[in-house]
Amino acid sequence: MKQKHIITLAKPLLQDTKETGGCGSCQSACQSACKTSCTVANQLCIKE
Amino acid sequence: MIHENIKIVVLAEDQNLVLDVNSGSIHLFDDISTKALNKYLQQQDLETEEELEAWQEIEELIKEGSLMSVDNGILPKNINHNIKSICLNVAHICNLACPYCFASGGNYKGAEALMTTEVGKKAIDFLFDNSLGRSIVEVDFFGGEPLLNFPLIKELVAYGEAVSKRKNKAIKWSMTTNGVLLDENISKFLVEHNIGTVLSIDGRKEIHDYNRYFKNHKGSFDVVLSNYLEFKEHTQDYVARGTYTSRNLDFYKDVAYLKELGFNHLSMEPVIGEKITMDDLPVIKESYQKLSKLYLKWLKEGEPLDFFHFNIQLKGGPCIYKRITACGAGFEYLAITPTGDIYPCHQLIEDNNYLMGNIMEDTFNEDLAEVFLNTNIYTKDKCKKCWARFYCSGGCHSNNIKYGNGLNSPDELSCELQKLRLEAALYVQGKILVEGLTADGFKGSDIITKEKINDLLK
Repeated sequence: MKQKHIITLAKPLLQDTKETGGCGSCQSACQSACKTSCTVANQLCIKE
Repeated sequence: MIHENIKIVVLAEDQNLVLDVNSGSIHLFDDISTKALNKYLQQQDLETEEELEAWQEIEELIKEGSLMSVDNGILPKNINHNIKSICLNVAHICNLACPYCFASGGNYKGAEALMTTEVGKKAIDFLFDNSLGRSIVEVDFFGGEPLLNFPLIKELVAYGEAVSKRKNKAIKWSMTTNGVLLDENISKFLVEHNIGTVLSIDGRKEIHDYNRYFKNHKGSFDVVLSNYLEFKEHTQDYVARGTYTSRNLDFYKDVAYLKELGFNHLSMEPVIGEKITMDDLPVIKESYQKLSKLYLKWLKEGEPLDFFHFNIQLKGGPCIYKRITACGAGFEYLAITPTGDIYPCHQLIEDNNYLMGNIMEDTFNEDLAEVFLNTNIYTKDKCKKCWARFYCSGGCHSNNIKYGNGLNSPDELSCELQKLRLEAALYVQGKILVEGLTADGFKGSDIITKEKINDLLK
């Protein structure tokens, strides 16, 4: 169907990473720039 | 409209970014589709033909699972809970006397102390021995001021690198410093050993010196700025870490000032538990909005700023496990004091209720680790109703304990500040996606202008 009012910019399908994620190789949130707030979404996935 | 599964951020006239919280999908809605979506969320009837037309498109997205998608609320099982990261408090002593310090001036309300070689090496052994299944482990040098124990840092880096080779497991180093002792010799060592360094500097001189002063009350700005400028000549592996309090709610000026000084990697954190209150939120919101406009301006001018808190990736980013289980304190991440005491994190060291064991005595409270492991967004009722849950993971455990109502009851002020920051980050990243901005400024062919959007929709 042709979308006239909506453009999809990104479809990361986060729920699928319940199966594919969890390797734990990414940096711990508190080893990065803050040490005072929880910045999980600011971390990089090492697989990307 | 506030909805736990949808977040709408206005990007421009007739351009609304719509985040589907559970799938992470991002859509660009025009005004008509936004109106139709809002009516659906508010259980109102659609009226016009255009709204009905837009609703058909919305239904398509719902069907394909990229809007109003569902999260089954079950923690994934295929995950490694073993330790991967330690915060080594090599010095419980500081050469500054900052009144806002969560470590009570560096000694965490205990005795001043420097970590010994014996404790430090045992902590590194503990990390390697208990990181089964991990290919990378992390050590952060922290304090107090860690450079007051620089000889130990040198020794432990040599030791850690040797163990890393022997065990065939990578080790990553980091350190947070107040910069007073960061001389040429130390800088050279940090760069040579790839030690990612967090440089504490609050922004404008008067803002910095108000809180970050020596024991004789003389401000530290001039000393640390000179050291930092020299240090960053040799590396990009740093973050200049600013702090805002009730005194600089206009912190966008501090970020701009630091950028002007040449710092291109920045973060800016609020002090929770200080004088900032809910009444300050409108001013703070305005500051984040101003900062986001500046951020985009710099990007367009080809002089981008790496602002840590705007670094969220709309097209991917961390897996859901990372986003559910918060920082990993208490099981993945532990803090170790100069005497070898183990705590879930550096911020909980003053609280004996959270003493987990001691490195030298080979004790570790697995039950307490289990408590932290079982604290996630699915155990926090407030998070289930919040659109930001996969971005902040229910917030900082320590803030929730100290200022909220416990591990499972996030601190309200922290939540509101996080949401303001995330809204600004979504705005910035949404604009980047829509306008095709890159770190090199505009990329002509990638720009999605309003005209181009109209073309696409023809």
